[in-house]
Amino acid sequence: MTSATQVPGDPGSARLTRAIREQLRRRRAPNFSLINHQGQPLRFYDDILKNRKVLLNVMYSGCSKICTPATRNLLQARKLLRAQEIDLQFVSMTLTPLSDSPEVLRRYMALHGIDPDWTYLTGKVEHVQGIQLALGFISARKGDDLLSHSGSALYCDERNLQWSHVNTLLSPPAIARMIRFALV
Amino acid sequence: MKTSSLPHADPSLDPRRITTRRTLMKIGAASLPAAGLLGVNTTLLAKTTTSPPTTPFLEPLPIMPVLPSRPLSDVAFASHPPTQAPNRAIDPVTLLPYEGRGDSHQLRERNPPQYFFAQHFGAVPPVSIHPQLSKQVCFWGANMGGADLSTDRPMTPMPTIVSRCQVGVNTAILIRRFNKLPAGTPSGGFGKNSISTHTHNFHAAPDSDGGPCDPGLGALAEDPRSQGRFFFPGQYYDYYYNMKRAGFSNASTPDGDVRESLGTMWYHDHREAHTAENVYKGLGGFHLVFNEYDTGNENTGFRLPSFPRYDIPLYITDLLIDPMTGQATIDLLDGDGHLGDKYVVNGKVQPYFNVSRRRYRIRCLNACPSRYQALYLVNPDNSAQLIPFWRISNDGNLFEKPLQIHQMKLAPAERGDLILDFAALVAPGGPAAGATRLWLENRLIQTDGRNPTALLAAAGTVANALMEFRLGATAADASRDPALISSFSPITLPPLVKPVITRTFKWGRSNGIWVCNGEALDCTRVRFTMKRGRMERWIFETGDGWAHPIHNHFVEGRIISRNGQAVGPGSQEYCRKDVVGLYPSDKVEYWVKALDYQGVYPMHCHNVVHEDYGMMLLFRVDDAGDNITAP
Repeated sequence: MTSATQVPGDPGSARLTRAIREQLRRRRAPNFSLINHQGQPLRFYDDILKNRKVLLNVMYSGCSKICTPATRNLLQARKLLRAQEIDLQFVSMTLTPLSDSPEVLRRYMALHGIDPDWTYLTGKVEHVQGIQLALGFISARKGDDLLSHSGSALYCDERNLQWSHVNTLLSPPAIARMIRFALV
Repeated sequence: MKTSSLPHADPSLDPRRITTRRTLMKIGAASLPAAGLLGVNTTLLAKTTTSPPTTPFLEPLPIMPVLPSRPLSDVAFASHPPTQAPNRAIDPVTLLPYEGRGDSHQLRERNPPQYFFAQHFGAVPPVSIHPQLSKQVCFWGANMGGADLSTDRPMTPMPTIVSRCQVGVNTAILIRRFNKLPAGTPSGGFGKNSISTHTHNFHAAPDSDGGPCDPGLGALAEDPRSQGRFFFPGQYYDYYYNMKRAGFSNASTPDGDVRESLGTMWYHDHREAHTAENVYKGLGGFHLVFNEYDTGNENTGFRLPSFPRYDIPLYITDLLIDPMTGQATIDLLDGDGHLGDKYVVNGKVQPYFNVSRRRYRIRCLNACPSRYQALYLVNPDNSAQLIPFWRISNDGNLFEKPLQIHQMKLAPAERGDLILDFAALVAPGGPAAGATRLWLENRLIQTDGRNPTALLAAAGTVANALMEFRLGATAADASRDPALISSFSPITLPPLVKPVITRTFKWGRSNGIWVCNGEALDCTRVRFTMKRGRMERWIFETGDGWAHPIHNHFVEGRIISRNGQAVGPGSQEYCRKDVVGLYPSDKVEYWVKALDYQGVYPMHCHNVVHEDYGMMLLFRVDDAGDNITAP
């Protein structure tokens, strides 16, 4: 794709992009410490989002409603995307870090046939919740369907400030389609 | 005029309603464990951004220029003359088809295009919206059709398109839209440079409707590079509009049914999942249609004030300016909705408009992403005056006759044409006697992107003024006094034939996103099918805590009842509508009938943030239809 006309005479636009990226980082991507399913410590912004294209969602191993279908759908969608040579880091974060230890997450992955290069995250309750709240996966609103966590995944291309929602409750081809359409 | 003798304001704005209408109906709310345990810190994401202060009414109201037509010999068309079938040949520069369109223009052979227009979409050069604010560098817009964007610069709001509809005359138009938007990271961190231009309210086939996606295009629709509805930088898209009224495919009415006349339409971007940011970024403008009766000339037809001098479109939106960067900002991760705190009319923050003492037609468009309006005319020097004015249409469709009102409610995407008689209003003994200036003021209080309150702010609050009319000298006026217009016949209401199917649509929230009947948009699925020519009864419901202006493409309908109360003569909703404003806990009965074209269209919430977060579904129109009652 060729680049079309840029804003003429706007030396500030690169500076503006940097300022907005920094603002998003502070508001939406707190650099909290987390632990992945292999028990390794990492930081949310530095090690998960920064300069990367990722698909983020939330789940918990004891979930009896939308998590299992969402996981299955995402797994199938991921296979479709890989067949089309679309590479995207999948990241799932538990909603119940107290019970979802790295070991429990590994069991969850094995149960669903998820390969180890899909990152599962847990950590301190306040860190995990802080990130999920910042990204809108859970709601702070009183009287909202607060008990219903988001069934929407977030596609994020952090460097290019691109964010899109991907509904994990659609059919796998429809999910793969949403991701492809977010990437262009 | 005594206040007590005036008709009451809309009952849904009665503060008492707040306590009496709490039904706590939540649609689709699933119960889940986690949150009770979460102890969530509710202050983390407090919406604290406030725009820098500005002095109101420093600059005059700009008027968008009218897009000129071009000969087919123009460079816009010369190398690729417009064809009924899309130009899918591969451009060696972009490696994409020259044209984004995926299918042929339906029924174009009946009315081949006679007038040709071009628009180049691109970044708007740094532009001032207020002398006390930084120049805005994040806007996108379109130009007047010239190929050189350095001399014919993109602007927002985009140029006004003006068309005519006339019995016995082919006035069909074709608009070639070129995408010259910047590649790479979008300025300001918002905007998607693949675009689809929807003409809101026109009766167009799916090929030119400008929808977000269309599974009817089959395998083509699967690949973003070939999907057939939006177009990328370097591509163009030919939109064809026959300018006929609905019903034109009926052999006995080749020009359509006069009762389906259209007037104040608008065009805006409709990129799947990115509509809010693209419209906020500037991709919106007016498309006006005149006809044999609503002529644009105050000496003929209904004798409404003449276009363009006394017929003024107002593109109303609300921006939030980030004080750190000085630029317009929108939070793409906030799915509740976006509220600005600066009213921007035709591209300027709180402008003034010098008017003569005569009648004007003022066409108001609520182009805000999420803000609802209750518009009043206020004399800031005597705000106790309750000032009546005339409204002639809703969503661009004329009423049976002009209505005298004191308040006009506009949900996002709704339009209302007003007749303001500045001579009579301020004359001695008039309702705004002695006024030298008048504000168009939104008194509806809204602090949440999800929905407005039911409360009104005090009249004469300067922050709520959209703009100021400054009264000048008396001027000649050949337009007709709305009080003397007893009917807009022959543009009367189409008959309500008995509906053959009832479908129910519950607009709500589930699993953290916005849904209809429990499901979010799936671009691979058509949820129901209308049969051409068959009247349908649609029931729209919503829960408490949110509001949704529901817009269906292609088909206009009639609001039959609202919360059990029939909508009849005298109501500002007694006309054809393309947006149904659902306020918290509302239940609305809406009748619609599809005519002429076949194919796939969307219907969706026009709080465009809700739309992007899933509140949309696709329907088909064909000659079979289906009987799905809860799509």
